[in-house]
Amino acid sequence: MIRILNRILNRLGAFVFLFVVLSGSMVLPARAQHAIEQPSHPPNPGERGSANMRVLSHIPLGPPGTVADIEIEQDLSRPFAYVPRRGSSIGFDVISLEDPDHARVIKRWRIENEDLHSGGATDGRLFEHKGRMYYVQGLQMRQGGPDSNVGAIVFDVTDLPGQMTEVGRIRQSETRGGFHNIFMYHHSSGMPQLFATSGQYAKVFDMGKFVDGDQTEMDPVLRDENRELVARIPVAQSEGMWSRGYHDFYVAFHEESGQDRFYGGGGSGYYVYNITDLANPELLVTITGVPGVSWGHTFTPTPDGNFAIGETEFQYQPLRIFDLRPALNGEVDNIDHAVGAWHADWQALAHNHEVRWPYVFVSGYQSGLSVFNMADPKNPYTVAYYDTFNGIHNNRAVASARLGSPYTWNVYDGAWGVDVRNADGLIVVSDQSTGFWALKMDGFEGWNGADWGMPNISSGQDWDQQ
Amino acid sequence: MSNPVFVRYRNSLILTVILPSALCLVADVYAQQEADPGSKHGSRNVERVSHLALEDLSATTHAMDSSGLAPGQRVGNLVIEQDEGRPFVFLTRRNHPSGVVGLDLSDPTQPVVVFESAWPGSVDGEGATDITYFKQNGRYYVVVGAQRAGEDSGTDSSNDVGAVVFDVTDLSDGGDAEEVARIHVPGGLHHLFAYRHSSGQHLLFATGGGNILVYDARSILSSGAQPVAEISIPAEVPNIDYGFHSVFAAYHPETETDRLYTGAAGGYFVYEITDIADRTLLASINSAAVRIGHTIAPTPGGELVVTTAGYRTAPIRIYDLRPALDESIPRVRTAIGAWVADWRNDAENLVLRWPFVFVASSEDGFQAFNMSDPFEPYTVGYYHTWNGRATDFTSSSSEPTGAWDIDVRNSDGLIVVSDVDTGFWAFRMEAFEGWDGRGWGLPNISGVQNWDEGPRNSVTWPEIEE
Repeated sequence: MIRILNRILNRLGAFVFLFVVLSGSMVLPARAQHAIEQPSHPPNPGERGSANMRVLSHIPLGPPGTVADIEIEQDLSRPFAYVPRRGSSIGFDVISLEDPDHARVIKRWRIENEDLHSGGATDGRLFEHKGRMYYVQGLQMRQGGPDSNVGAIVFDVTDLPGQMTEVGRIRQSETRGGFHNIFMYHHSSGMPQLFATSGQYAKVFDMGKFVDGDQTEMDPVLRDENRELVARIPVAQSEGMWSRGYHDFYVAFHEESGQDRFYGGGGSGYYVYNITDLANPELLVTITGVPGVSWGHTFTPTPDGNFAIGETEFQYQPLRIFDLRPALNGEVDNIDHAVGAWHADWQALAHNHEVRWPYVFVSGYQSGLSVFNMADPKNPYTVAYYDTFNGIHNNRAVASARLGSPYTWNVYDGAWGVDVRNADGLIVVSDQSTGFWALKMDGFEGWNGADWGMPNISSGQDWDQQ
Repeated sequence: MSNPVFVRYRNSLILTVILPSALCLVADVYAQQEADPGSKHGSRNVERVSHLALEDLSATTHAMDSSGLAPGQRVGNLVIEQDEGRPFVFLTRRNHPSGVVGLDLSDPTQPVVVFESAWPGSVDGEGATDITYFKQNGRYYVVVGAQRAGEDSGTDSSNDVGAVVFDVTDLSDGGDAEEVARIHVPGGLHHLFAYRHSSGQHLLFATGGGNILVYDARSILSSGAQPVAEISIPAEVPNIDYGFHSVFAAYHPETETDRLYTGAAGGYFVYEITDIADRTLLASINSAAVRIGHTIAPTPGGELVVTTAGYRTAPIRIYDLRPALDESIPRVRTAIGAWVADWRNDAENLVLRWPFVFVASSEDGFQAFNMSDPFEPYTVGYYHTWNGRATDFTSSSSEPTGAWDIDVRNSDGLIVVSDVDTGFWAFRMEAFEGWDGRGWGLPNISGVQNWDEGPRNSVTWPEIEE
């Protein structure tokens, strides 16, 4: 080192050297953040997680392949998380986080006549209406069994940890197969809206009307299954679409324009609609023709709506970051390239994610939980991780049994869902093989967009205010 | 804070009190300077044999030499002659005025420019693209493709030069090379492959992004050559106005047939071309992650293909053709393995000498990986021919960066690389002293042609002369 310094001094001169030293002392703390690299699998003993990630609780929930997404309540006084179950256990588990270091399952709801059903519960969402809290459990039942027309079941969970009651079932008989993904949004009109993947649309249901019913005893029997269906958000059509419908979506208020905006992944990529007037969705942005992206999966904007993270459900594909502004400003008709990309492991695949700018929390299948920083969207970098899966990667025997082909890395196993409680920064993860996890990341004690100079917009809805 | 450090500046000791991080930065900067071309910055088993910077790729040093080529122009594709007594490499120069440069590698450590031509750039602004060579009636010919970058030259006769043919035979006697013919193709050509067919024909396969044009080598030595066959993609792909990107022809000893491996809109396609007029589509690879197949090369036995996809973040994918060839599946959709030097970048071109694959890997320079287990390929050697700052993720559509093309001389294992920024490089990899497929228990099939005897004797060793 000394020899190097001597040579540099002789070459560059003392002033240049001092400038480098002084500026280096200021620059390097920022560079040091780039140092975290998620290790390749399997990690060394004791190195499943980065030093800044701490496991609070872990609950194995059942056989591998029976766990789907996860949802956590945002109110600290309601310390509950919900984990949908599928396969051999169709329903959902309620987990109490009253003591986050000792989380425990307090309810296991299973569908009646479970052996007759084929499919499972996938996505779950919460909403509050007239002072009561409801949990909506999305379902996908195959037509070989009962309830293939049921897309979701609504529960009143207000009295947890006490009683939990089923309010009703949302059916769509013309588009059987259920709802793979759902999203609850507090629309600027005040309506609590359920967005659901169904057929070639994202269908929108007025959940206030659903839980209120028509105040008659016969309502559950006689109700028109489309009574609460208030809108259908289309997929912008193009030739050669990989899929005609949506896989997933996200809805958020856009402060700058005062619009409610819908961000959908599916079709041939990603789409943004202005849905302030639900009867007249206005297409704002299409993202198609992106190399490597033949359809969109998960799609989440930053709080200001300027950027969005897109996932496409294929091995080796990174999470891509798109700048929406050129399309929103009318400079281009379509966005066909990403401005940045991030991978935990290039041989794997990220699944779902939650944006709490500048952090993005990723449930990355076999990579487990990862967190990256996208303060510079062109250069996102990993800041924390925990390998919740810890199973055998590239397990061709399992892939062959499960998927019918040994020609895959069996990447669709491991961390399925992730959610973040804004009040205290608690991170919860559902892993298909290892169950429920609660974790904390050093220095992340909660999230409010205003603290970061951003609108306070995330998937966590404010049900009390519009 | 670190301990005080004394450093010497112009015979004076200076006491410094600096942060360890600042020291690291200084060392980092210095290390980068040390890693400039000219120093060793490859793996221990890769020896740099020679390097000619862009400005040295000309026989003259003034701003515009007699050939019309300006020193310092970026290079493009390259090809190395394979026959004994012909130590020549030919490189294209990409940008206007583009052209071709020939190097004599009689002493591989001291390449000498022996041939330059400004065609086709000096003609009408077209850029030189791919390059290949063939032997006909004892004479050697180099074919240089030409295409106007980013625009369709249509049917305007002034813009329809697709390739130019040079007779380079006399270079081995100290003579000159001369242009002998031009191939006229509206829109130009960007990929060429010369093939010694099992019938004895010498064929040139060429594409400019539309159909594959097949020429008899004898005919292209005279003006007005017309293709003997034209191949269109099996099915139009919606939203992609494109045909074939690349071709690779190889004999398939097991079935005693000739096969054509192509990258095209929709993925990759394999044809039997034993009768070039009566072709059969044998296999299709349609991956959701690949809109347009880029480069493709088969293993010597034709069971697997190694491919690139032409966009950043796309790894090199290895596909198993056998399930499609034996018709147990209609098409191949999933890769069985993949390799990448750095997932942020992309690989441009590759040559396969089983079990090794040699890659021109853009910003990652020259890379070599072993695919003896195609499920788990791994890096075996590298040399960073390009050492600049990493380009933005969005720069994929702009000018290329780093290692662009690569070739291997089978007789002695000499590896040659063209880097668009840093020029021509020659390497040797430890223990790779040449390649003959039979030495690995495989047919002696690669991109190298046996122009005199053809491919039929590629399985058995020739008699050893006493």
